[in-house]
Amino acid sequence: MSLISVNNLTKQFQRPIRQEGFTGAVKDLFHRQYEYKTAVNDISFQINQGEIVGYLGPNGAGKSTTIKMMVGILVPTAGSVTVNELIPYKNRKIHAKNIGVVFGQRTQLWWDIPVTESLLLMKYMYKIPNDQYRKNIELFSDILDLHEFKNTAVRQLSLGQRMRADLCAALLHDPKILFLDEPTIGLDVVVKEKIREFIKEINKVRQTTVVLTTHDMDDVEKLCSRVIVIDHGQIMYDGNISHLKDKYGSDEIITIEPEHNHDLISLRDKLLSLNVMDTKIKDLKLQITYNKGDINSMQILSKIMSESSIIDFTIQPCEIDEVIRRMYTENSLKGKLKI
Amino acid sequence: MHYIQLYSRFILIYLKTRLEYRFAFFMDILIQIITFFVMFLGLWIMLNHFQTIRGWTFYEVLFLYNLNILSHGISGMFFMSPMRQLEAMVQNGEFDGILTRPINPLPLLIFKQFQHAYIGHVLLGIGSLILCINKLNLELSGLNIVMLILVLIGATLIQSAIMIMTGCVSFWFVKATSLSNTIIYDLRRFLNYPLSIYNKFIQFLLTFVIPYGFINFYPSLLFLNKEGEVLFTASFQYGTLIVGLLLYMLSITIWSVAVNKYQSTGS
Repeated sequence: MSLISVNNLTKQFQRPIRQEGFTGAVKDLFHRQYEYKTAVNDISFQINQGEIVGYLGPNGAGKSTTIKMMVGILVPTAGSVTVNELIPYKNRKIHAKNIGVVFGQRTQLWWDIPVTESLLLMKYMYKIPNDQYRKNIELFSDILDLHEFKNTAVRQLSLGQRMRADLCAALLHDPKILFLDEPTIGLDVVVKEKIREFIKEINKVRQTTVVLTTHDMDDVEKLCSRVIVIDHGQIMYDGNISHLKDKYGSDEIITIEPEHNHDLISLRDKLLSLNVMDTKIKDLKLQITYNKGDINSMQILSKIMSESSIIDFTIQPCEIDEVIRRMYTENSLKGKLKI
Repeated sequence: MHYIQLYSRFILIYLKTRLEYRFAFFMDILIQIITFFVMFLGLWIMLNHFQTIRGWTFYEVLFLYNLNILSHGISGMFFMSPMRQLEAMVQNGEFDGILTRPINPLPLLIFKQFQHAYIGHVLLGIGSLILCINKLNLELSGLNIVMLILVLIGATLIQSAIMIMTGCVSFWFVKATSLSNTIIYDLRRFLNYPLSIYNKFIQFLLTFVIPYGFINFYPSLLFLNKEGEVLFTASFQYGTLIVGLLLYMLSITIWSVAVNKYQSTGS
């Protein structure tokens, strides 16, 4: 049986409709109208032990809502979630011991006390045996460099340090599943890399299942063996990452700055003979959009260099949000896609 | 056992962080004591002038008053801050974190937010209770002491239950603190004087709807031997603990319904 099993899961929120102006406010007082917003609409998937699953989608797609139901914060409106054979919201106390949760935007640690004291509180809260606690602290300190700030109060930590401390706190009790909501949001490249390494290591050594939401394509590429893409509360894609990119994310943009401005127009005309999708001139630079399946960057560049000399060029890969946006527009035409 | 161990850890950390600002810590307690001392003074001046309120002497009214602030102080230490902050926590989604821990949400909230200012309440309550017992020559038999303790437990449960229930309102309505202020503070003021001086409506309200009367008025009849003051039925004198337990159970039930109603926030 799969570790996480989500079946026909639906969550509806009830929100009062507020009417405008003073008379509206008075009307609301006596007769309040509600609107129902479906955040998650009839989704199903299974996750097995040891997987690292990227749960992706634009803002407001229903990612966090799904995670919150898997974690046990929210009660589903319809359908079911079982995690490790438990219904999260009904068995919060036992469920909590099986999972670790990190919300990138909000710390789970105590604001006013040093990191070590916070971690010690976790030990007592989760009843972690001494030797397990010591072993974990040692291991995590090594990979996450906790030494440099372990005696600092959480409120004085930098975002990167706080995130590392949060990760450590979430894993002290050896959870089977780790839920990460935007773990790398707002972090610098070095810390991002460190955190990815850590997640990978934990997954490899402990077979910890990881479910993470992110907007960072690098996170997805470096970590996830599988992605689930959701939009408007429905699953748009469930499968491996390379398939997703081949299918939807194969557009790249090359931007070229030629040495002589007058080359721009002639260069553009020359490129028309190649199999590119679009060319644009902007700020004295030439932007070429092409599909990686049709032609590769080297072919385009060699063509250009044979025609003129250039000062600089950049290649911009497709962003995940762009991939998803394209997927969504395509899917809304073709209907739901099943892989 | 686990909870006791855990709570002592939390309290230790709470005191450690609060005692970093030693002056503020003791001022909080002192200000509470001064505020209530001023109220005592007002009571004393009034009763000095009128001698009695419907046959209740100063120390009898003080005894009444005491049961109220002592039980309010005890439950306030634990329930007041969490329930006050619940509204904000529900609004900004901080309550999420509470639901991902292997501890029940209510105890966890209590563990996280002790309120030291109410120590002032409790100290003052104990002090003036001893004073009243002395001045009124109340017999300190074993039975009386047990009764007093049971009444205090019951009264504390009533106060706590009402705090929990007003806190729960945050799960349904945003901006509910004005309601809890009305119930906790404004209605509770009626308890400063014997319930028998008010009209039938207030008596009914504070006995059957919001049973504040059981915190101090009814049990006081028992300790002060005020047979002439009986409202409704004489058996209410013994009702504090039962009312407390029932009301507390009700509040816990409402609490668990409310938690499942929690909608979290967008992110």
